[in-house]
Amino acid sequence: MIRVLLFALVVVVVVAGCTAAPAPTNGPLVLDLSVDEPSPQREEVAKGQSVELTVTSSKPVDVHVHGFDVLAKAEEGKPAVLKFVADQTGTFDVEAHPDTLLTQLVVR
Amino acid sequence: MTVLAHGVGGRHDLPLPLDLVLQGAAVALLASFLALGLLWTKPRFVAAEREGHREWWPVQVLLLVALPFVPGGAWPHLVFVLFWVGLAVVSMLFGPVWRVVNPLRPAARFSLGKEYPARLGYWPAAAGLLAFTWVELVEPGALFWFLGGYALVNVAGGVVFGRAWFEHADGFEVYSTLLGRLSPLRGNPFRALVATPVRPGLVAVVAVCLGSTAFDSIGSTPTWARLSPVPDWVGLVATVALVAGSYLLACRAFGGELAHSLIPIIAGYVVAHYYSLLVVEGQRGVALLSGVDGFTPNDLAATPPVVAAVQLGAVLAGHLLAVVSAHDRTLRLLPRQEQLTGQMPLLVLMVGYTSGGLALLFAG
Repeated sequence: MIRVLLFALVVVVVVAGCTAAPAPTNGPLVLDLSVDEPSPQREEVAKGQSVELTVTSSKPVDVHVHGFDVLAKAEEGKPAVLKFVADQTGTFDVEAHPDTLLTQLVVR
Repeated sequence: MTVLAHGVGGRHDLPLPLDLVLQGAAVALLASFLALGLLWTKPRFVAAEREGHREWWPVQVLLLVALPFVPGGAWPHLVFVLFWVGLAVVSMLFGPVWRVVNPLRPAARFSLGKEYPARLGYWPAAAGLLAFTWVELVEPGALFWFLGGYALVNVAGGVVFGRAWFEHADGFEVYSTLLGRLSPLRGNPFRALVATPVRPGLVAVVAVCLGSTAFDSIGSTPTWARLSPVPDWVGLVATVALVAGSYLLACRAFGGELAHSLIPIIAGYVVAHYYSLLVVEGQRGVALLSGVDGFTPNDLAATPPVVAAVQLGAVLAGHLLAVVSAHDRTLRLLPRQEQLTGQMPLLVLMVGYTSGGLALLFAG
């Protein structure tokens, strides 16, 4: 009886895991980020969606999107603009080097 | 040159879907209390220490000779992926491998033969593991300093105290030997678990292993980054202290006697947390070791459904082994009338660790 119950639970778990529907692709995800006052959040991105990041900073800094290896420089009065297509799934950090997390992209 | 998480790149898994987290926690809760009511009422597992000492000194010497030839850029992958995660997985499958192949262990052959002080127990191992996880999670740039210090301390310890030094004080050997008790290839894992020697510092070792992996999840969330003024090392130490404190609160006087039952939980969480790192970055590690730069790993073995299934399966399997192991041990420790109530706090704590672990695989 108990085995049946546990087996049923495992089946429920597996089935629920396989039925999540993929989100539809919309227009580009546009984000304005600040290196001086970072407030990182998670942003959901659909695979294949394009992403446009504008990063402002009061001092010269390199901005980097992990996984996609998109790199740009931001400085006073000259924001960094990063445009790319999120064509692989995963969770990717957008960082101002050395280690200021600006946002985290969850691509699925 | 950029500082990367783990020193090997910012790979994160997709968050575990919330419905899986909730269902996994529900299964853990239900299975635990079913186990409490339905498992045996007389202790079943007699402690059986696995057969003694085996070392392959030719392999140890070979590794020692090979180390200087490792390309400089391959070290972070070698240490943080192939060694740290690979050692854990190989130990779970085959037993205490670090004892067999540790290239520093030949130092014990030139030992002065002093007796290792029993009151030190596993404390040096706990300190060494905490230092290593600090390098891994907070300051990957200090890797070479750590490796140098580790080699120096362990060669000196081996020369002074002989093999007993490595058994008690080498963090990696203690870690590998604890996880090695789970190996299904070397007899019943439950009997090997209950044979874990209770020595000073055992709870500390367990807390460092569980707490550091948990902090690796916490530290990479945007929520932690928003707490920015809090340094990472504070988070690491606080997580380890939280694990140790909650465990000791639940077990009171039996903390040492029950510590072995957390080993499966550690193993499950290590597999869940590092699976994709091992199968993807592990390939890059092998490529770097053979002198190939710019290798693109194949991530077929780490597609999101596979990773989610491995994570859930590993955490739940670890939880179930832990519950059975703790149940059997409490039957021996507690008088008959307290057996049912007496194991409740640890059971609740284990459900908490497991649900917490699943939640961390989801958290953002």
